[in-house]
Amino acid sequence: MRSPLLALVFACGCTPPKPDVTDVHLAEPAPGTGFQLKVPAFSVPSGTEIQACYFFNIPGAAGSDVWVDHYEIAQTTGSHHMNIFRVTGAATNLKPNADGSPVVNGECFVSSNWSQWPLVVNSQQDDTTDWKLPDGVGARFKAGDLIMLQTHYVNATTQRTPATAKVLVNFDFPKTTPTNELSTLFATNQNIRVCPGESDKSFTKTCQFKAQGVHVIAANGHFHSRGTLFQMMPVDAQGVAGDVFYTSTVWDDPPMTRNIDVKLPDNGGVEWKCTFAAPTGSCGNPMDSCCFTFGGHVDTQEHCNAFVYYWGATLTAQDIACF
Amino acid sequence: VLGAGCTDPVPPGKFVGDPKLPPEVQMLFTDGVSLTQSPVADGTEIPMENPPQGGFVVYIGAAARNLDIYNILVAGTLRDPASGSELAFDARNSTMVVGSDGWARTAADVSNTANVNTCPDYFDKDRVGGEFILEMRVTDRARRTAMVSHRVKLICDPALNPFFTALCQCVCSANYTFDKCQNVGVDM
Repeated sequence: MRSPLLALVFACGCTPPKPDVTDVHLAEPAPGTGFQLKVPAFSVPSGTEIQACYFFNIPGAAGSDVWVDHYEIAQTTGSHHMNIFRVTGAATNLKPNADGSPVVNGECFVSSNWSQWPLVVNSQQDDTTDWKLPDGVGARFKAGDLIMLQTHYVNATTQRTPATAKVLVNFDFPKTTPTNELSTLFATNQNIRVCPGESDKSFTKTCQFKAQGVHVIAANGHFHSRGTLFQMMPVDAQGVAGDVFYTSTVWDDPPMTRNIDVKLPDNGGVEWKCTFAAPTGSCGNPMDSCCFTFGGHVDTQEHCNAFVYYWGATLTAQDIACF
Repeated sequence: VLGAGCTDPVPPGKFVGDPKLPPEVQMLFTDGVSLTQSPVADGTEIPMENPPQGGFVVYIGAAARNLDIYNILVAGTLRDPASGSELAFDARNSTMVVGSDGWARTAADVSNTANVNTCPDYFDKDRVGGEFILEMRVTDRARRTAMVSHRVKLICDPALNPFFTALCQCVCSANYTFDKCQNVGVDM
């Protein structure tokens, strides 16, 4: 996830660069204690980016509850993001290939295909992310549920993949059935536009929850190289924002804030703010004054996406007003 | 940076009006296409438009004076008139253009006006045809701020084509669900 720019920063005596992660290993959970999703190593040719969608079924006796309270995620350097979604609702153009092969680019790059699929877990960091949910909290699945793992690797101007792409994810079972169900919010602000020469250009949105007792326990934000500051904060029902609970100033290795417990005001929600700067001379869309607008292509487009994990209320998408 | 003497990266501001007077703001709306803006008053019918991101929004701009308009923050809020609760919010830094009347106005395009998301309507009151409170707040870099609110009526833009008119009527009606409008525009 890191940029070669880090080397320059290090030369100035500031932050030492993390070494590239050229391979990852993650022991599979012992039988009966969890399962592993595997994305085998693949190459990302120089000057390209690959977004691939892999489909899996939750293992177990059909229809039985499958609880997960611990995620372990391992990725090599070059991963721009890894998102896992539950495949639900109406059919879209993104579906498993009959031969089990992944969907590469194409429909895997069309965000409307999964816009209504609930997020399971995401990571934007290379190496290993180990996330044990708070005691008594777990994500509930049904055996046989279809999930989609989307991995995006970049080997281009603003981000590089020094070795091969590879992703491993462990879903670990709890020892006892959790009493609180983990829920997620994946929110995108799609009408953003940043033009060369602009700085401190911010975009802010809110998602209001029709619920009480919501506890936010983790969050991370996602934007591309024009992003300078990503913030999230609670808002009350009137729209008054509280203290920032998530901050990121690193676009290519954004932190995932965990081990927080932010209780949202009743019928309040989450506000997220992305701030951008586009250098003079940079170019996003040559047909639009070289401005950068919403899209998944790292070098020429921008994102302002919020990932929020919470418990305390089991909500449908209709209970969260974002868009 | 050190060699340059730690220069202030903030570019000089562009003050419009009289700094001794309190900031003022008026609310404007645009259809996102015509590149024109119209004033909003109590009772104004505000057209809902289909934006690039899906759903429907109202594009709310501002006319302002007596503040610094450089990279000014424009924030639009939709509220329930009964409870005052926030239903939707969008804030963004905007480019403003100074008119001959001494007021600065947001550029009348979709990226410089607040995209206040009105639909899908997950609540139990129809957005289409419904009366709501719209707020516009402007804030400059020195935190000078002004706010205006109006009770307005939301409508589907009469200029929408038949498909988007039907879609607007459906997704902007109360209690939207994901499968509610899938057959809009489809001959059954």
